[in-house]
Amino acid sequence: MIIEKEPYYHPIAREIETFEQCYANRLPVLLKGPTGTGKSRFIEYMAYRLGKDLITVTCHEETSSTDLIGRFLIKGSETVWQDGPLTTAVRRGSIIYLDEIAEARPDILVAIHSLTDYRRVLYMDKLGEEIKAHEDFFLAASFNPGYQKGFKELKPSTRQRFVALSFNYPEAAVETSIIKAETGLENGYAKKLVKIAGKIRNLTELGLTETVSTRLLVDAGKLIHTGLSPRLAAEVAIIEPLSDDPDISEALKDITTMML
Amino acid sequence: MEIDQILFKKFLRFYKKARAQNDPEREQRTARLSILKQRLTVLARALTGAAAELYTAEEEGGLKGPVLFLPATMSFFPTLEMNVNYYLFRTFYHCSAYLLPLPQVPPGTTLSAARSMALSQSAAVLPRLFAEYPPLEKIHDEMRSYLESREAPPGLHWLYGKLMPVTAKESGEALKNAGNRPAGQSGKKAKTEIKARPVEEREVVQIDREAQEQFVLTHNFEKVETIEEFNGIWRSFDGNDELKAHEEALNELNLRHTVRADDPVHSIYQAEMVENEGIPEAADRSDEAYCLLYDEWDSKNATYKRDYCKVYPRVSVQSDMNYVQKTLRSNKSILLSLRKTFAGFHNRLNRVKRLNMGDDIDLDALTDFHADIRARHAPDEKIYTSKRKLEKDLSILFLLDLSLSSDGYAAGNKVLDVEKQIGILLGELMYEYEVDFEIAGYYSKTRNYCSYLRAKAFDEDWQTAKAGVGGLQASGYTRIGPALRHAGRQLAEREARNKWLILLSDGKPNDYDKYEGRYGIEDIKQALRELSLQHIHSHAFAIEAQARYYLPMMFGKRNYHILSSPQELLKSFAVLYQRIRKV
Repeated sequence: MIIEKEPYYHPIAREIETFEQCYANRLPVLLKGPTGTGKSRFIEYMAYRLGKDLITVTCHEETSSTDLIGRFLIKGSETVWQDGPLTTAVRRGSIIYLDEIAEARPDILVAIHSLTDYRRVLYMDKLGEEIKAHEDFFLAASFNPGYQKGFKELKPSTRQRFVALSFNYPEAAVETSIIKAETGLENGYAKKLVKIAGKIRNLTELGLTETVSTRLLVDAGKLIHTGLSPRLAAEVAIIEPLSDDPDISEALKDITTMML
Repeated sequence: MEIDQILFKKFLRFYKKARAQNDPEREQRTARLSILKQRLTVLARALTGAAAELYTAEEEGGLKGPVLFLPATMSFFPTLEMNVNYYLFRTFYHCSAYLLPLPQVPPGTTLSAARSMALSQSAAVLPRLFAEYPPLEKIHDEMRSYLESREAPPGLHWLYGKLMPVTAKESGEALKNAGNRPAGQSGKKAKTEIKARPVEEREVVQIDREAQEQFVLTHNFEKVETIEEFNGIWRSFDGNDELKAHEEALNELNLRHTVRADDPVHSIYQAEMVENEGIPEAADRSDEAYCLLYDEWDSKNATYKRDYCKVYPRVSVQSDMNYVQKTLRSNKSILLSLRKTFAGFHNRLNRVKRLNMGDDIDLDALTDFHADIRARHAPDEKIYTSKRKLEKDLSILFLLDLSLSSDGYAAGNKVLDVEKQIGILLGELMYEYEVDFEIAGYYSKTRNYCSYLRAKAFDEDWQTAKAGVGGLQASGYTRIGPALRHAGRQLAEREARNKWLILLSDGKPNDYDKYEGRYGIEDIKQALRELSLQHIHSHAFAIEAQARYYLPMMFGKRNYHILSSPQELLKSFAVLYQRIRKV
């Protein structure tokens, strides 16, 4: 996918510079951080900035190396080879982004190993071929350490093949400006949404499986901007997606009612 | 008791009962802390960012560190909505006050001084509160004007509470009189159990055995029964169950002193009290019995206390086969459903591909087969898939909390029974599917006596060992850290790649010596981190509804389930087993 319009991205630290240097050295990048902190947006932005083609694969527990590398298909009485997204990226010299890499089956980690070091080759066992990666090929992946805690961890041997960039919720002023830029919301409401998020994020250790992300705040901001009442927007875009527990939902509603 | 006293008591009871029933309108508008408590606890934690707790106040209550004391009921205001808003206002108000750098109250401040200090502090808290939460201004003004307009105004301290001194003092003196006899092993059960009035302040005093022995009974030559607050004079614990007879008198007293004793319990006077972190540590004791030494995490100094806890590994000698049979009989349908769930995972998750023969065709292999023939290569004939039996590359250790708190009830079921029944049902299942497992229990009596009671060892036959699970009894306290570390050692010795420790517990950490509150929670978190470093996964089944507010602090967001009966095990175990297989 060629990204034609510049995506909005607000830099938090020196991640743009780091990514550019990684790209120049063709060092694979791992983006770590909770849901909705701008990891995918950052990759889109960098692909646009570097003028490169971006292929995104959202990994899930059934994603296997066959899905990435490719497979034979039966077409009439013939078998036809179909390249997977990784092979396509390797041949074309695209940026490939493996979203939630820890969710995928372990065999994809084996498949990408030889692409992540000095060899930069992809071995296709079904064809018995080895392809040398295009000069512009670049590998990036994302991983949510909180979400996979105790569930699926990335092995240290895999992690060490990447340069890691940490993403977290931005500071209040930055988050406010992101909400304003993304939604067109006035400063007062954007600030209030960020304050509400600050209170809810206090609860991460105390019962919520996921906490409020910048993405949820942007959703709420968009609803308020287009005319939904602020309390209802906060309820449907922030509270309801976070919890089904009636006590927690009531408590969060108390906060939004008192702050909006 | 004289006849006039009996008559007076009966009349008083009748009057109290009639008064309580006579005002249905008041009942309707009454807001109750017991109903709102969980919502307000979450709210307070979000507003403060601290592990805030809510307790019932003796009267209006107030703020004591991150602990909020609020009245048990509120019916001052004319509508239920206003009375609920009262609790909301108080929670927001105290949380805002908690975040302000306000002066502390010295211990010993009189009640009226504490109230007037709170009133004057409100001038600093309210502007900040209204700026951050504007709708509260209207709620506050309505409540205040209503209170002031009443014929007999109840006083503004009901709006702002009183200032309460934070007393987390730690005595330097080591805990005395801590023998190794676990509490509750008298063989008799407490017959009387009464809920006490709320207690805001408490002081833990150490038993003075010498003073108890030297106490001389004085006779007042008056035929009256008396009961009095602790005034420094020690009397022996006579062990009579007279709680019911003294219930009304106890309600009149201000009971603030508690002792930790290992004498048998005869009646239970149950009060909700703030965790006491000022309990001293137990002095070192040497014992000739075989024990293992484990470190304990001191979160305050971020360091380990080396070889601090003694764990005595024992084998459960009491057995109860009848209990096991009864459990299996009465939970037959649950066991059947568990078997089905287990078989489902077993089959689905162990599909083996590229076999010479099997139930189904492996499409990937068939495509390769076809491609090879077209390319004039000799094809691989392994083109089938099949469902294979569970790989036995799994070791599970079930760790049961045997402390006395498990002798209590959750949702009408005895906690220990739920734990034992879950242990028996899962044991039966693990045995049938040939999973390597152990079932053990733990209790403690200070750091010097942590017991690890093994009911079924890893290599022991379940058919002979299961009676031991049926015979497990409640005793002692809940020092979870050493038990986790010892269980981790057992698991580390197993060869399986996939190792799990599953804790069945009802409650918070506590012990006869220092282990309550943050100290114990941090030690458990550290013990779980140690397990994780050894590639041992952990999960908790909590047999208590309140656990959802403190278990995440110890076990993380997804690593626990709340249960109150074996029936609920079905869903939780299915989710857990999915996790076990995915690791």
